[in-house]
Amino acid sequence: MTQEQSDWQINTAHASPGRFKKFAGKHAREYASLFANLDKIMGLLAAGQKPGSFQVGFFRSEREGVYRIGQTGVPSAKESRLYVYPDEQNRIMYVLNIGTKEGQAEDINEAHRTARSLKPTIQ
Amino acid sequence: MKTTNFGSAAEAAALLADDPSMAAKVQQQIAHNALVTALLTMRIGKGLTQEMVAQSMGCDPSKVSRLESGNDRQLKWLDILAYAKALRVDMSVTFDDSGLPAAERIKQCVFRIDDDLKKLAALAQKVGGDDQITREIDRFYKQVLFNFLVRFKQNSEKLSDVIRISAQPPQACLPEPSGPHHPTLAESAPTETTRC
Repeated sequence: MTQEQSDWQINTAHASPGRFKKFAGKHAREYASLFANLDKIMGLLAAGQKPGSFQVGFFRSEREGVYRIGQTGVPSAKESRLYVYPDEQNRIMYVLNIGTKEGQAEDINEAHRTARSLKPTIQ
Repeated sequence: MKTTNFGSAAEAAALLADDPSMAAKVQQQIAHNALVTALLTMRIGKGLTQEMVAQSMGCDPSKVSRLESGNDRQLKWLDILAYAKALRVDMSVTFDDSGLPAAERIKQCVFRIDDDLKKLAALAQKVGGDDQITREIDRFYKQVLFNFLVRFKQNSEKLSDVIRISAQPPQACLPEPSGPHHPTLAESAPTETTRC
């Protein structure tokens, strides 16, 4: 019998709670949708899929191992993004940042900086 | 120190929003996407791209993308059928009437199992007697029978326990009989059942 791999975990240690709290207060429906979509991605990873090996409209690579998750199914939604960094080796999905389309350039840069700081610690 | 590792997206969302009610909101969104998620998971599991599914459905890939980005309420029945067909997945609709007696629901399950076993028997006949498939089907039939008998026995024993308890109720708990006599379950059950 093959040994079962441990489940993927979501890590929020590198996310700014203040930023997430503010976003959730301002765009509650989009916030819930982003995390519901994160749940879908977690389901795919748990089923053995690798990040980047599958094509899903709301899950896009932003280079350097960072992915963005978009909101879906929310009428008249504010275009929103949840930035994550999947660590395949340790099966950890790091939640890095959240924001709207307007601020995405800076949000992505920030997510890249955090992901870079994570990489040396990931063995 | 706050927990930073989560097994669920809803819990992570609630912690980051500093709002416990957010977990329920995320769970609700997840529940509203159950069918879309199932379709998406099947497509990816089968290694199909949106383009491949679109080609099979005879539509533009953007339609597949929209379908997968919507929620269950936005799904159209014919699109679900076409999507399932593109995945080569059979679909069946089961109306499970919870108001039906358990016996009726079990009967329906038995008929369905019977249909599936007949399909296997037909397949065995089609491929011939010496084929490995036939042997596998034969083995599977035995497994089905074994599994059925094990569960049937377990449930039958549970039923017998109930009947036995009814047959010998603690006398101290029984009220004095007054009025017309109503037979107990044990009295009305066949003798053979109460004996086992």
